[in-house]
Amino acid sequence: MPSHIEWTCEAISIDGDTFIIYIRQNISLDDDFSCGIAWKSPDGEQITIARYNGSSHDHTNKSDGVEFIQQCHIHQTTVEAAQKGWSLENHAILAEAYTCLDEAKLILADDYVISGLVPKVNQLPLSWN
Amino acid sequence: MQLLKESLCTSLCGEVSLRRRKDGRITVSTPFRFPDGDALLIIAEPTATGGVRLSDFGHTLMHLSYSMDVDDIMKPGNRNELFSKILLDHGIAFQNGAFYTEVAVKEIGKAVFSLGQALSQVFDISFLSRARVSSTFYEDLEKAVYKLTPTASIQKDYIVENRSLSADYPIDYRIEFPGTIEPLFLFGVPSNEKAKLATLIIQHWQSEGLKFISFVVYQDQSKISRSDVARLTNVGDQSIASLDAISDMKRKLEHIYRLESSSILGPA
Repeated sequence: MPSHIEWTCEAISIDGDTFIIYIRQNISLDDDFSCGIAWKSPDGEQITIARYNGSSHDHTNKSDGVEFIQQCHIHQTTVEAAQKGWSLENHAILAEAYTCLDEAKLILADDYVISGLVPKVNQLPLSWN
Repeated sequence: MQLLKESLCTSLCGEVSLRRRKDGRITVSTPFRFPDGDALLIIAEPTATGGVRLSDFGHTLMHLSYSMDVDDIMKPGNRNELFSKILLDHGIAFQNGAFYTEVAVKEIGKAVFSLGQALSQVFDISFLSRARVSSTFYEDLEKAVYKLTPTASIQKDYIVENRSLSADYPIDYRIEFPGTIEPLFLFGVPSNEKAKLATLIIQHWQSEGLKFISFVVYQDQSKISRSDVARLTNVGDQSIASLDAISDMKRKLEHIYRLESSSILGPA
């Protein structure tokens, strides 16, 4: 039995670029989840643009030493990481807008204007009762 | 020496701590990091025998899955050999996607280091991606062949039947599409030597009057000597310069066999 559930698909941008959208959820640990977007270069290499992680693990930025202890965080590819030869997505920022995979997916879809990632039935209307 | 030892012990202890998770489990926090800055996940749980079980709960493979198909590690090949060696070297067990070790409580320090080292090395398998290491070429070729020709009859390391000395002229893949007459003889070519061998084999079977269409997949055509490429191009029917051009292979096969791509060929 695998330890996580995974889902991956390709998405094509309006400009014709290919992107990989992926979603992962650990079966045993609710807070161990991830969803992200990567650009697929013409030679097949995948370059992560952003990854939305759960709070299962700590994270430390190389650039500024900022640590996230059991906090959701978003990895972002930075020019500095590329210039210094680090893992491109080493830099992360604190994520306070989500606490679970479903919420992270909504934010990923919103941030990168990905249509079809979240079924419309999940997009409940806001109510002010 | 004593002062150095005390400083080292204090420093190491400062880097390792235990933290209670929201679900009640205990995380062992260490300085071990993946290249993207994420910490390795190590969770400690008591065992029935009074010891402690340290496990990554499947986090490492999930992390690895962002950049590669983790199923490739479990298939026979270079990645799997490396994977097995890492487990053996560090005395780590693997079950249902999780890495773990069980030790007596007094041995937890050593076990944390062993598990941390093993998890880091397992992650390094991702560097064995097709773009970086030549030794996975044949594994990647096989994966591409089966993905591209799901409905075809595929014989790997094919030896032509009822012909003398045929074992001296093996075919990497014999692929027969439903409803077609001439099979495809496919050769993977990662080196100059293999280019020469493929040339010789194709020439041999042509001179024997065998009907087939030959197809060459180079690992990287630009790295093969021009004279070897020229000879192979002259005797062979079709080729692609690398596995990155697999969509071109699909197009060429459709053209050769007039295949309905949606029903006979798989995705490129």
